[in-house]
Amino acid sequence: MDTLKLKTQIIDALNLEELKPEDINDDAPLFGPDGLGLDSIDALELIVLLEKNYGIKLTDPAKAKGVFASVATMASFIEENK
Amino acid sequence: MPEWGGKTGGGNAKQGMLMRLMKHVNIRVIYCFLPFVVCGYLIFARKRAYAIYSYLRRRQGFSFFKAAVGTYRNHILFGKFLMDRFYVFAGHKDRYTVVNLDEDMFYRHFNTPKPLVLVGAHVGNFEISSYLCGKLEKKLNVLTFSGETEKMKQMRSDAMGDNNIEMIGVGQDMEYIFKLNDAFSACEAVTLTGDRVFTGRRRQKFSFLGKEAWFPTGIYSIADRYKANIVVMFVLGTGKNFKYKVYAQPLAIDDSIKGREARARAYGQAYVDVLEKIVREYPLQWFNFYDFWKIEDNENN
Repeated sequence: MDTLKLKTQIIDALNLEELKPEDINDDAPLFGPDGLGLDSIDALELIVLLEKNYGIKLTDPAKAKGVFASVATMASFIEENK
Repeated sequence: MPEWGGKTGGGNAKQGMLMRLMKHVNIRVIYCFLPFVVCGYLIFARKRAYAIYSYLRRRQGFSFFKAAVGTYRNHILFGKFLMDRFYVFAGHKDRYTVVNLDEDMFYRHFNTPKPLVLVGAHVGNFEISSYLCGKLEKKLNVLTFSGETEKMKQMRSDAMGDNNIEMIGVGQDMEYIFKLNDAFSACEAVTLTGDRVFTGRRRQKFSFLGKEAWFPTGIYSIADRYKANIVVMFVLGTGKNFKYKVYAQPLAIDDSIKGREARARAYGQAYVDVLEKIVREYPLQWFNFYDFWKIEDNENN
């Protein structure tokens, strides 16, 4: 899957105006201080993003941590569930 | 000054004991002991008391004497409202009445087929309304902090009975996020407080009672995302035992405001305006026992 498109969607959905898609490393953690530093409200936005843009409903909170680990893990999850 | 710890005081045992006591003892007797307990608090929890004194003196403009007496009365009221909650937990909810000042408006918003966000504050006795409201048509999801004891959670759950209310514990995992998403998607109501901030970028500074303070704005971004109605709500003591009144007001902003941050700020400002109005009117019912206006030097952004 095209991670550049996904990054653009993430930036748009989370209103990360200060970032460009190329600033985000595919494998960098989305949450926590070592990566983009997203918070729980961002997680909610990512859930909505998956639903609206890809028709994928993520319902298992235990799975979410792995799915939202990085752009790469999100992209593979989308690929597997499209 | 202390910062907020995120939970009701006392452990499982103390909270359970208090509830058992409330089953057998008239609450007026308990009220009689409050001055002694409060004096203990004022002596041994001086920092918390000073936070209230400072709020009354500097933000409300009270004189030294009025602020000192106000600090005492604020603690008495807090104790009274807390005891009222435990009295309800102990099965005495029928003794209480909550008057809704604008019931038609409230239910008009509550019953629309849109999600609803009820934003409260640590002013008055917001929580007690959940136990006294009766069975609701729309499911109400109450956001609580997971730091509360199991006993407290159980007592709350029992008191809500079949009122169609679910508590969502905000914790470190993502479970509550999924529950929130489900609630909004099903056009349910969600209630939370709009005056408690931890850290992070979902907060903005607003001038409140003459000085800047942090307020959360993430809640408004979410509400806006789901096109939810937002109603700010306070449950205030009336000065009479067993009687509270609800003040509710829809939060509306100019539709021409574009951009999520700008819209969240506009909602935040509208909330702060209502909060300030209420706190000016009921200064002693402010229960944030920490330096609410504390802004670190490295937080000036």
